[in-house]
Amino acid sequence: MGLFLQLLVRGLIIGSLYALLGVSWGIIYNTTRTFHFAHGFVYTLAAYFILVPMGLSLPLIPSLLVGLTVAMLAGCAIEYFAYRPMREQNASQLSVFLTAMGIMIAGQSVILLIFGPDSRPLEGFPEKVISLGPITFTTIDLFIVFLVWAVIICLFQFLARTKAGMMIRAVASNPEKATFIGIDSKKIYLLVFAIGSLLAGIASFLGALDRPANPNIGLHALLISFITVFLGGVGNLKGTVIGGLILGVAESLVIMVLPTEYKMVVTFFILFMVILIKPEGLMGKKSA
Amino acid sequence: MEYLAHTLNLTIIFVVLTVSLNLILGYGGMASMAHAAFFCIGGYVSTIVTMHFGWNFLAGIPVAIIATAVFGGILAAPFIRVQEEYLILFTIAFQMVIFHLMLSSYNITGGDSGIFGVPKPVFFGFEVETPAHFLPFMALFVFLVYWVCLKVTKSPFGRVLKGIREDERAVTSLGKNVIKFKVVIFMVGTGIAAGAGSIFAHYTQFISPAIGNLDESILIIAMVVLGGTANLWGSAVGAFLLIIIPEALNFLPGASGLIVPLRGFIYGVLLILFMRFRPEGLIPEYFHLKKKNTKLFVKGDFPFDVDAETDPRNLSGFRDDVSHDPILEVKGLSKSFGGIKAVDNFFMSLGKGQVTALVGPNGCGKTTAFNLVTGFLKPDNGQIYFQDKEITHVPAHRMPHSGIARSWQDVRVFQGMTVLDNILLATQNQSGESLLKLFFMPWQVKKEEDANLRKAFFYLDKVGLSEKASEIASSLSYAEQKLLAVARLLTTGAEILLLDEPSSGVDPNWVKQFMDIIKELARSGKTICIVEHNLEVVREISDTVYFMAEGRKIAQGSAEELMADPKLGEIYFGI
Repeated sequence: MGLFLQLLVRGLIIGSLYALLGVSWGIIYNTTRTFHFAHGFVYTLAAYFILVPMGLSLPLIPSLLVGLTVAMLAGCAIEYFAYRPMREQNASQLSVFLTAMGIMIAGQSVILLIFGPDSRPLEGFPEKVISLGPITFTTIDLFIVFLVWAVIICLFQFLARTKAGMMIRAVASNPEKATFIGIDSKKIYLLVFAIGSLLAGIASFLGALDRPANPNIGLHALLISFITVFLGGVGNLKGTVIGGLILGVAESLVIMVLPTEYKMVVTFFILFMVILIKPEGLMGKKSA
Repeated sequence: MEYLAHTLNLTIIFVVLTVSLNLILGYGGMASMAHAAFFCIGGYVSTIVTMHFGWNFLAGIPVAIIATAVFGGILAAPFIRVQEEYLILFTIAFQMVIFHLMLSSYNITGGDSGIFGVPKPVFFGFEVETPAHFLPFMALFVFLVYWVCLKVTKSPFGRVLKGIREDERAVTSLGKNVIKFKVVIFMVGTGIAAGAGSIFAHYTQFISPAIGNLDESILIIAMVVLGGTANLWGSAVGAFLLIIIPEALNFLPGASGLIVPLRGFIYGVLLILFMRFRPEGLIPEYFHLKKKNTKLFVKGDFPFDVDAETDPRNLSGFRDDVSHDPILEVKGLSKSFGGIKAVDNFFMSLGKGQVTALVGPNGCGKTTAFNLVTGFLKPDNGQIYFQDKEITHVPAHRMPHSGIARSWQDVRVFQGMTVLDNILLATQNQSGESLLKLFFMPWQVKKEEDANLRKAFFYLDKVGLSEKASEIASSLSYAEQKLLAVARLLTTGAEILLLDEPSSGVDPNWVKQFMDIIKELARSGKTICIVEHNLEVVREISDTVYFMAEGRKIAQGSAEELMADPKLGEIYFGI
């Protein structure tokens, strides 16, 4: 029982990170329907642009600002210089995806060329162990969970209450009608790429607190983010959050019965079963 | 010399991988990110059956091909069913999972260090040892793969794939199970990759999970894109170039540690540039078509004898033996979209050999009714009977076979295909659409294709398009495309034809031709139902008119009766 509770808590911590990742990719996909494979590159880029200034003894907060700004700029640049011209050419979904993949591979290779393959930990963060009965976690875990949920709540409030948020939802639910009522969908696309990349940057920062960064972290983050979105249901960010939690908890609990290498297998199995039984995702709506 | 032979062998393996991925990506329109994983699985299957069970490698290859194809097909099918993005999702996830699983299953795969000593091929006591010895064997392999892939893509099966890439719904409406075709081509491509994997394992006498990682999968995708999607010869070019570039990098001084990231950078940038500036690749799909695009047939110069069965006069002749009994009955059909009742308790009955028209203001549910009757939407309530047989739950792709076919308001001819191929695709139950028959009963496929060609020309002649048979459909005028759509619909052989606004958007001269064709079809015994806004057309051709408003039938009768009713006019014109 003690082990179960410990793993459950660990799963919820990881699941929170997954939820944030999912939302960061989901807001872009739901709105633009771009299979933004290069999101993984943005994620890695953010980690390096937080870690490198810190290595040059810049304090945490300014470094974080640098990293998040770079992430947002990178996301917007990819949309502006790569995806938008392709959309204007009426390129197929597949071509846009292949472009995204090209950016991901080229970008990841550049990071590898410049910074080398070594892992870089994010150090200097106060870490204390907290024990509650059989459950232990660290102050870093607590910080991760706190920040993730603060960010997610802010995002949902933003989407529900601000004018920009409503415009995003309008474009996501019906791009054509949104254009009729005078919404400039190009601007909205840039906005969601900025928001999604900002969230990816935050997730990358929190991820680096959990384990050291290397040039390949983006791929796993990307995989988790879109599995979470499809699991929860495309177009439903609440579903994405729940999908992230389910994945995190499942990956964590499975250690009780299977060796750790099977973590990914379980993720895949859950995805497979959901798509088999409910193709539109756990909380997705059936499309007409 | 051996270095050259080895490089050549390696290139051949990648040509095979690229060609097989091109089947999936170029022809099937699906991005498989797991091609290297399937390649690796094939290698392991063959390694295991030859090493542990002592089978000959010639048995190992087909086992690897079949096992991998079936495994991949079963896992991919649920994802292919949903949407194109889901297959990307599936293949990336599968790629990562399999790779990690192979790395961690030491006792089966040898983990990181792989398995050494995979048996060498032995032919009649002769051991194939050096790369040069292997070369003829590899050449035979790549020749065989090309033969199979060319045969598949140039067959009726390949024709359907082409249609699917253009317009899935149109293909479905012509009675093809789109999902089945996609799953089959996915399995074929995957199986060939597995075959390459098993030959590669026997060639290098070594197998490890390293050859099955995501980077390799992406490399193969880059090869397909660079060479040209849906052009099998382009794949050889793409594979060759992307093998040569890193080989050349090896000769760069001081580059040894940087090769992996440099390679990645080059592939990535090539992908971006090609998708943006030359998405068709180095060798585009219709590379040699342009040269041959001369007219194959001239009107009056019919390439075939018209036999009695397909004699135009038999079809256009007045048949007074046609009784107008109801042939299709729709009972209480309802469909809601999020609280809005698009079709509400709708009843309709179509008489054999009659023209029935659905009229009503925009948004009254006519098109939804069409979609319900043809299986494109599932009704919430109600039944549909065709000759007293219930067909309510027959899926859309079985409808033409059951006797009901529909056309589309937005025409949906396959723009990138020839006029003739548009027609040929519509024939039901073609043997050539089954790969088994294609390879094991080629004579039957050939015979059918000849007969279908004859039939196609008959229908093309009927709508006056036979002299344009070898033109690309997009070069036709809008009215001609609509005629082509009608001919395509006739080719399905369905008894009941549902025409969605057959005369909209064409000028009055053509409208007359459409009306003549429809009247002639009805006289020959076809049952017609049209949705039409042009009341002149409705009055001219229809026997019965259903007036719909807000999802319900509110009046029924002859065109004259309904048009005389001032109340209906008010609803129709909204005054």
